Amino acid sequence: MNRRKILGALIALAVSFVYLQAGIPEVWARGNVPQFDGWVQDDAGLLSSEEEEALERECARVSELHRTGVYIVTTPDFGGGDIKNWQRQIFAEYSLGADCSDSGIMLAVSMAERDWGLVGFGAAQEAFTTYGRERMGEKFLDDLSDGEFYDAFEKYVSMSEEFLTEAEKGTPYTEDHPYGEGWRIPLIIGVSFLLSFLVSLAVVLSWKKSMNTRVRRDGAMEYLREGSFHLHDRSDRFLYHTVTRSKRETEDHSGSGGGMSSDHSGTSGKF
Amino acid sequence: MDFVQYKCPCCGAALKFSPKTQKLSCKSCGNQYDLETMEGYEQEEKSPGEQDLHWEYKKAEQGAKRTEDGLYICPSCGAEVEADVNTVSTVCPYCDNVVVIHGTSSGEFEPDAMIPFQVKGEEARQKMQNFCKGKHLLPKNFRDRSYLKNLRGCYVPYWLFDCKASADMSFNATRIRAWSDSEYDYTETSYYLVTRAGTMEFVHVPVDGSAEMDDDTTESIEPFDYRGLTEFQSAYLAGYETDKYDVDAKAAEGRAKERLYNSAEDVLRSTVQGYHSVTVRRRHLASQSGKVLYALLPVWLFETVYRGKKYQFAINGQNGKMVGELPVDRGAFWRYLGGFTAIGTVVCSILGILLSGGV
Repeated sequence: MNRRKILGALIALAVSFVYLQAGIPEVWARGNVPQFDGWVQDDAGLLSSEEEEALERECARVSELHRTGVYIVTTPDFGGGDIKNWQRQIFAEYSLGADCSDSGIMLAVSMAERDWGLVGFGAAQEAFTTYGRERMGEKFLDDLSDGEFYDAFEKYVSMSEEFLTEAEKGTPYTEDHPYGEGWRIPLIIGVSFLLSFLVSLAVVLSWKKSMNTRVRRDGAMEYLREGSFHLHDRSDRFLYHTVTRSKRETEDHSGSGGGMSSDHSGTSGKF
Repeated sequence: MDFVQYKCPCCGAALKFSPKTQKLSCKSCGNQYDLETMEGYEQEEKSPGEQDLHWEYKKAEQGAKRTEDGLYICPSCGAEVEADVNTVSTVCPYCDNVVVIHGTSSGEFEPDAMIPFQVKGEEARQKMQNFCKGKHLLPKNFRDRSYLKNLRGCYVPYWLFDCKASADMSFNATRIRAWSDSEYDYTETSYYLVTRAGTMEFVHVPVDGSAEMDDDTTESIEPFDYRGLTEFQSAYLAGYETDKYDVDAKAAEGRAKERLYNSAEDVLRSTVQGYHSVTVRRRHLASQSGKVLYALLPVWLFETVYRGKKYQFAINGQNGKMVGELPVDRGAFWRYLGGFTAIGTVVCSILGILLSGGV
């Protein structure tokens, strides 16, 4: 009996060891291990201390107000694979969202392969639908591509609050309730007015122009006797030349149009 | 001792002869020039520019003095007819007969040639009505056609300038070549001095000799077909008003010169090809056997005043070409602009909302 217990304990220990070797630690083994402390973890050093503090304050405010953790994590290299899985490992490992009923949203940026990922956790998945995450990605992707990381993160936090607020009203942003809908109709009307005004102005001005058919003559070509022109001297003398050069614009935007991939709770892509 | 100094065409710095390259080189911008090129360039710099053209007047300075009182007796009814100092013929207000004032259409004021009217008054009225058709901005009270009463056939005095012109002009021209490597875009601009000289003949370039007539209007009804030009006969004046010139040929020369210079430039410029840009540098024109002819040309005229502004319309009395400026109803202008904008906004908004997925 004791032997069986000892054997069972050894097998359980061996299985646990294998599981641990194949599971979470494998992710850490391949990439950098973040030391999560607070809401913003900038291991890639993309933010100044003032920027990090400002984002930390904002994340804390939104998180406490909406009872959903809003996290930002940057890393030099997450180790490859799917960045969304790496984010889920971090969320579980550090028990993020513990004060918010395991509800949270996390934006992760990895500089090695210029990956980004946006993953929702727990109840926050209702606020951050696939549609919502992709719209958020579209909004901050250009800033990420341009290296404007603070602006990108600020947009992310600000939009997270909007998405959470809308979800609390029971109308989370989805294809049926698109984000930014409030501007669509005024925008259409404004553009329609501008186009109509320009076209109308062109029509009315052409009418006005047709009211006056008087045109002062520039020359007297009608009175040039046909065949009377004889060219008797011509010379084309090269004097000098100048060369100017301008630096070609290099295309350093490597991933802004690279697309996104989504699963049930996360969205990721390249920037 | 005389010093010869050449200036760089590119930067204006002094050029220095280089024994090594046998060229004139510029230390400032680094350009080098052949001796032949610089001699041609210097010669071009010293060439004459624009000058007055020489015209020979056919008529001597002579002419009858008109009487001081300005009254003439109608040969038909004997009534006293008032006439402007410039009037050659007019219509008697009592018997509607034409009074040709011989005293002014002789001597220096007698035209050398004229083109008789070929467009009738009724035709001219119809043209004026057609001219107003489809003009949405025409004021409503202008459409009552009462202005058509003001239609008058008029022989307008013109000076016709003939000249065999010898033109000599130079142009600055550039050719542009562009290429790139992995880091830079390059643009090479080559500068050329282009000269052209030639002769051409202009026949009967018209400049109106009436101060009252708007120059834009009289030039707009051109061209006249000079095959219809005949010797002056006072019988042609019957039924039409005729003014003698009050802008003499000397005063009209400036406009003729301007038009001739512009056309000579166009003609020579048309031979400068293969360049990206061509700008005139120097213009010189000399007239040979330049002559001036005094002619009366037929014009139907309307004049009307709308809101204190005089509007003049003219029809070429030979070919019927109509020109003029109609008054614009500002209220209609803004109404149409506002109406079209409102309709367009509604239609485009509905289409935009429907195409973007509805409300």
